[in-house]
Amino acid sequence: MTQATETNINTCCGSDESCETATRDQRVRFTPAVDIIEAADEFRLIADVPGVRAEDVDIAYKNGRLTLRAAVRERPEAPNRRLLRREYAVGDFHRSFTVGEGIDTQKIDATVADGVLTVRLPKARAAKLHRVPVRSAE
Amino acid sequence: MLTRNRLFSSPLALLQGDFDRLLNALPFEMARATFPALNVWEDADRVMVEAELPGFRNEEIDVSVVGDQLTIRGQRTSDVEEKQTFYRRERTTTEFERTVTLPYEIDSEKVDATIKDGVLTLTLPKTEAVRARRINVRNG
Repeated sequence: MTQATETNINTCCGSDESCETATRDQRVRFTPAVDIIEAADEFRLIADVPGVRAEDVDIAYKNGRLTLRAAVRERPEAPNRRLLRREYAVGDFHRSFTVGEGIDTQKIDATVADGVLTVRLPKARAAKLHRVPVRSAE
Repeated sequence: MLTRNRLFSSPLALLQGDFDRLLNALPFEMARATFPALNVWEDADRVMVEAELPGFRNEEIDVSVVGDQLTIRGQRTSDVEEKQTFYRRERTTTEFERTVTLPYEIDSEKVDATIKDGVLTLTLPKTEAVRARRINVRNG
């Protein structure tokens, strides 16, 4: 089973336009860092999305492709403040993955906490079943 | 494809003070050398610092200020359970420390730090002495 699941979720692209049409004006778009973990009954995809709230996340599954999009709200610029140093830019997050067989795509579920998005992809029942060894009849 | 800068290993942290001095003079693209990246602003009375620290909670971040030296430390507990297999592991920062020199002495008693949605915001009031040095020029 581990053999088969190895290719169950593959990162496919970051800001590749072929993924889907996605144009959010001229804002910078980032590829979030992700961990992909396999547990006994699910895969977990964990992405760093600082500044993102649950209502700003859009997760779509279509034709074997899971697309994560997270919009980061503009942080209000306080009046009269002057930039001294900028080491990072703020922008939206976008990344997609190919999802193989063995995932119950109806039950994909996601949560956001502390700027971290966790997507749970439960294994399909068939994939969880233990294979029954077949012996030849005597 | 744009990716965020990632952590630097500890031997480099020793050089950080020197880096910071150098980096202050460098353009934005070259200033991505340490974790976490910082954006810094000021107004008349305060310095404001922002850093992206996804997955770090209040109690896992320590901010200290001595004079004009700001130090941010963090350590997050690994959420790795047993019997898990990693197919991809990019979120590697579990521990960091960064010290930067701010352009002003800070009233360390009045520093305010909040973290929300993985974004740390610091408000660092300039000391009275710094503020007093700013002389208002009035019309004669």
